[in-house]
Amino acid sequence: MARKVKLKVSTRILRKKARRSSYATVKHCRFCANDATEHSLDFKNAVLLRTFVTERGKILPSRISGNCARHQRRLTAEIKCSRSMALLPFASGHR
Amino acid sequence: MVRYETLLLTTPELSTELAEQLESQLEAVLREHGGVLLSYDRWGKYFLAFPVEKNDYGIYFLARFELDPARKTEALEAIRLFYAVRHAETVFRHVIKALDMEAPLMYARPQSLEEIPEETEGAAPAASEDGETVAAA
Repeated sequence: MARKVKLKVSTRILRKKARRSSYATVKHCRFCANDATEHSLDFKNAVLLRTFVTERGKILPSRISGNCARHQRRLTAEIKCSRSMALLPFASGHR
Repeated sequence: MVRYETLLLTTPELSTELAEQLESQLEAVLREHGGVLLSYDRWGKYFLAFPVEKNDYGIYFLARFELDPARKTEALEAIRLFYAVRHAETVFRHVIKALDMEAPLMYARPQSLEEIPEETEGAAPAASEDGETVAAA
């Protein structure tokens, strides 16, 4: 039975990194793309904001949505404002 | 001048006269404090994301106005008092936000129940819509 040869640590890490980068798709902040999309980020636009919350009503992290830090902060504020006006739910199961 | 907008969530049983009265009174409050009402839109009736004061439905109004920067603090306080005291039973919730003077006045809002066409029995469901309505103020 052939024994599995343990590679050197540096080689293993390099291979792991290469494998990860080949699968991962590059995410871009959609609000940085142009002015029109940036202006659409508004607490009144509940249809857009609904795409950034989970089924349970939680805000999606930027590592999932791909937003930049600046727009993620703004998005969070707009979602919270929208929730206070009952346009978006705080959590599922209110009814 | 500084531009603001206020979104109101009112009772679903709000009559037309009371809605007009709300607009005229808001305009009077603004005029008293050196402001100008730019627009007053009735969004329509909505099914709320969660019950507010035991109401599943509500009517939204969006008003946009300009204020004198020197008197904006007292004007905003007067508007908040106007909602809290004179319309305590009609206005459930409100929000006042500052607007960018260079930003476009167009905005998107979800479709109200009055805008959604009633489905007839046996008819195919309407084409996929994102339920977004674009309004100009």
